[in-house]
Amino acid sequence: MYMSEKIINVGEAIHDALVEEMRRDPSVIILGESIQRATSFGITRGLLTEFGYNRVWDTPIAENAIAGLALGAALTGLRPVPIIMIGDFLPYAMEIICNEIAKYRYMFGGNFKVPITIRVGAQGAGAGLAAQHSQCLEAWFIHVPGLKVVYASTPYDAKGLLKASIRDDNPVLFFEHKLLGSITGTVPTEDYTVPIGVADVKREGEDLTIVAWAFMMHKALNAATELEKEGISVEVVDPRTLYPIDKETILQSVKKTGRLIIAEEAPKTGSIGAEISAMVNEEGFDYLDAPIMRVAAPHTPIPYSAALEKLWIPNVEDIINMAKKIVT
Amino acid sequence: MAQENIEKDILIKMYKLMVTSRFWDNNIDDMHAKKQMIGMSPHSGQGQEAIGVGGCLTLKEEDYMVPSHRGCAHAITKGLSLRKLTAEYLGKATGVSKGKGGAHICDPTHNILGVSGIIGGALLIATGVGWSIKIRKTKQVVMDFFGDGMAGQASFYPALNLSAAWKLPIIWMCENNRVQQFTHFEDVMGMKNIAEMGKPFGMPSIIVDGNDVMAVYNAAQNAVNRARNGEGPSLIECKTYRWRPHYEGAPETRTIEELLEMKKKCPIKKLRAYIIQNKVITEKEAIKIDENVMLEIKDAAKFALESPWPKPEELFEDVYV
Repeated sequence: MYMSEKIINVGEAIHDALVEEMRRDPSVIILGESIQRATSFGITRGLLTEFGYNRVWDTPIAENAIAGLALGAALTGLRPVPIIMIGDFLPYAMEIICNEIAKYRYMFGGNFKVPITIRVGAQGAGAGLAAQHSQCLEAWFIHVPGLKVVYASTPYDAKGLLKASIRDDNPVLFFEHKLLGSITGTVPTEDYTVPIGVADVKREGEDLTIVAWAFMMHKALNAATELEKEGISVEVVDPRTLYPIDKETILQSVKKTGRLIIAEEAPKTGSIGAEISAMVNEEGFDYLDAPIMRVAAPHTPIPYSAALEKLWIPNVEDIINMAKKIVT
Repeated sequence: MAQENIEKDILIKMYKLMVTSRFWDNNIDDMHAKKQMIGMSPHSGQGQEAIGVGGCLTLKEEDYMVPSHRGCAHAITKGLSLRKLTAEYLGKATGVSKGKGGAHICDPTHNILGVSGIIGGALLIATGVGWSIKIRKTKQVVMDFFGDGMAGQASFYPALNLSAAWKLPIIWMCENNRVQQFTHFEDVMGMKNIAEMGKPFGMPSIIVDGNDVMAVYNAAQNAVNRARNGEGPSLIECKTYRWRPHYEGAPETRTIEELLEMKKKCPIKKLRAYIIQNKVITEKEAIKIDENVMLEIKDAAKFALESPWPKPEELFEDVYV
């Protein structure tokens, strides 16, 4: 399909996407905490050297300011990529993101464009970082009209979606999971994008559809491998974009398999799984041979202790057990 | 009254714009009371006209301006048409935001950014605009109007900090009307003057009589010159007084005696007396200006009332590009 390819990890894919988009478009600037010297876990390495201080900005620890700076810049001709170092820092920026960035175009009658890609780094549990450095907060943002929400699981998707996000004239939240950094995969060496709003069937199957994204997508694939040994054929759909979500691909898969599990690494209440479940119920009820089920985290903050954290995180076993319950 | 060398035509502009702002404010309140305007009660800017007018008259067309939510003095001085303004308040398709914003006006054709309904974020957006000017290396400046209420928000500190740290071309125009919604300044603020907050950051921080349009203009002009020359931000605290409640129809938490006393310091009366006394215009000419302003406001009201409502399909437009 592509002239040449290479194998890289998700972190490298994100780094490469930033570099290539900054080379391509001089209006792309990045800003965030400790991105010049500490390079934000390596993601921004080399950027200061190549693009200079006028395009690579360290900010104080003030996430509301990071978001506000980005909005002011986006309204006046630039294409900023603000970086929220760790997902859990987002709430400080939430006022600007949800009340200003998301509404600026609509409330002002289409007079403005808001081309901002908010790179949200290091989401997710599993690293022993306790309740305030481990959350996956993407569900909070799909509820806000005006925002797009993407969350990639592979190097190919991460690179292609970040490029598409930066080129998009709308505000996009680009989420990253901290355990995805080392996941490797093949990406083309030539320029490409992955369209926002298009899901990907990561594995085809007949008996059950599992919708999962980010790190959970890999757990879903592992579960699918195990379940195959027991004669259950699983299709894994990675939505990649959580808003606007690709309803058609999910519905087509459910039409084929008749069963649906949504697996996610966040509390079940008010989750993205709840939204997908409701959507399939409304638009694909006739396809279903079993109730839609969710694999999600309990309604507790994320504990520190390794002994407790592993109980909190939805895992491969949980998916397998749920699959066996509804495929009979 | 400040001793001035302000040109005659600027003084006349000041008078006309302040009268326009006052009369327009009165008229929109009237339209709201008559239910010709259906929606949120206007946040009247009466008594504070000198700040928006004096500040924005120092700006060039290409400069940016972030208005506060109170009144229309800033926006009309920077160039927003009365027709588009009035139609927007009425929620009509011909409004500057196609009727989707109401009091949340803007006008990108005059580099007027949007009025936010949330007290706080605008300070950071203005910081971002100043930062963008620095990155793009243009000779623009940005003037941000905010009330004393916003100085209590968490965004105030990083806005001052970053504007100073990066020497951004920003003029922080504080309209201190001594009341935040219904809460009195001295009950909730730890400082006596907002201007004190700029000093730790090393930016020129001054207090001016916000009811003296010439004093505001001169202070703003100095700050604009500094910003344009790359010397960084300034903070100007304009001491003023809000004549109306937080919004029309809201309870009044101040005493009638205080209100009457403060109304004696009307910024429009003050300028009018000055320009007539100094023979910039005659009383007759001032009356003529007043009459012409009333005609313009009536024309804008008529335009707005006769304008169509947004079409149903507009509901779904402009959410995304």
